[in-house]
Amino acid sequence: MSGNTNLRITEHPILDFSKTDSRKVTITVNGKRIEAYEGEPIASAILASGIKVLRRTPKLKSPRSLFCAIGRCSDCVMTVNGTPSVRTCVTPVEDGMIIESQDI
Amino acid sequence: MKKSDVIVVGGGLAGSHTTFHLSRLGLKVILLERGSIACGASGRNGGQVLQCEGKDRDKDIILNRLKYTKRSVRLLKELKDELDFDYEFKQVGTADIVTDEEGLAESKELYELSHSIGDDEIEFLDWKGLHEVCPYFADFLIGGRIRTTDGNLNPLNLANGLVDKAKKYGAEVYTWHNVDKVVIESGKVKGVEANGEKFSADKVVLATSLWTRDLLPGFGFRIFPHRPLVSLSEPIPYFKPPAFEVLIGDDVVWGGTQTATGHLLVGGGAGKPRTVEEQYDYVLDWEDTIRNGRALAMIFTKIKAVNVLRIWCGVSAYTIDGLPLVGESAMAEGLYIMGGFVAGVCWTPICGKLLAELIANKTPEVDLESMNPNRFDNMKIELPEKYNYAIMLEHLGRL
Repeated sequence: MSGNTNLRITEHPILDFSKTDSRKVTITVNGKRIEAYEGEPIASAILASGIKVLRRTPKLKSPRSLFCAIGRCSDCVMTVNGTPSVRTCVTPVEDGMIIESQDI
Repeated sequence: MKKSDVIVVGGGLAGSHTTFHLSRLGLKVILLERGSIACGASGRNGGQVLQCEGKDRDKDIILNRLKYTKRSVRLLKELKDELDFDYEFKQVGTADIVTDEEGLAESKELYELSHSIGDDEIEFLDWKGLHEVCPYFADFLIGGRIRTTDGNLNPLNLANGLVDKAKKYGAEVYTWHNVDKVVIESGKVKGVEANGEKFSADKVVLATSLWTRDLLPGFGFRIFPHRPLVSLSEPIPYFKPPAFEVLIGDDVVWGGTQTATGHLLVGGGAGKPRTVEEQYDYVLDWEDTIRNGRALAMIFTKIKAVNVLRIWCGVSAYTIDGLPLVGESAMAEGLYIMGGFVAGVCWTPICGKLLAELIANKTPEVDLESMNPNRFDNMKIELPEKYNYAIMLEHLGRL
């Protein structure tokens, strides 16, 4: 996949994006500040910013990213504002969120 | 008819350790298990390797316990190299945590008592010390004692690893074989009947704990059940908390740990007092599920949110003096009992080894005297008609 493909999710089978206005906010992902739209899924904002790896597996340290995108598979879990194992594919962005990768 | 030197009934940790050591000593062993390996109490507990529970102050009681449990911990370390299954033994320590100044003073006192009798594996933790060990503990947990050599493991993997190795040493293992009867003729054990088939041996080990009463008419009431709850969260990043126990208010003792795979385990006793038979039959109710969730939330409030995958009801076995029954039964020649473990994960390794040595006519490395299975013969054991964890421990004088 080329680097400049836009990976932002705009249509979704179970989440309603109609109320997502285009208010731009800033969130921090592993220390890096990125722009995001308030209310869009965290994973969507992260992928759109160019970061593709959300976490690594405990044993083989192999990279994991968005997979099911509907909150079931838990491949996209990250620590959000100190809460571990949050499903970033279905959790909406709020301004100033601190998001960190996990090794689990 | 199948023949062997020894038949072991029960494929939990007690039976698995015993089968492993007997096979290793060169005896021909048949292991019979009514379900799958470790499908009962052994597969449903928190996996805590807990050497001394409670607040015993009697020097002899404490030293007698440590005589066995220290050997168990050593065995658990040695077995890592011998078994082909990783049972995830981690010596993260177990902490006895308190919530008020009175408890902290008592904890300090017990810590000093331990050191005065040469038990130096205990450390005392004040608020700062405890929260350095585990920053995720809630602020109302103000300190306590920690035994640094304790820890946790995966009991299902351990039991399966032992059975797997025993098979390689020559043991025959029959799962889904329900033993209907122990065959005793003129005071001597002859074997067992399981699934309508005859199994013959001069020595039979009943590693059936709470269910020994169903197999052995006249065994009576020596081991009694209590049903603890356990809940398991989704994996979260490993933050290395010690295994712990804490009394919250007047509620039962809650305990927990984090498994090597990141799952957070929290559990405690069922709430409502129940009769012995109700304890046997208990299945988790909604009220207890809520109580368990509340305890998890209170202890780990700093984690903010965690998804619980499942909650279930375990089985613990108690005896009136807190020690298991291990050794030859007076009920028949060649009949051995191995059961009644309160903290079986920690006690079964050494007990399985000692029992195997006894059966193989080797001198056991430590005596089994205090665990004599006949010590309650002719003794009337009484319990309150209905009990929960707190009522039972108060009755036994061990709270």
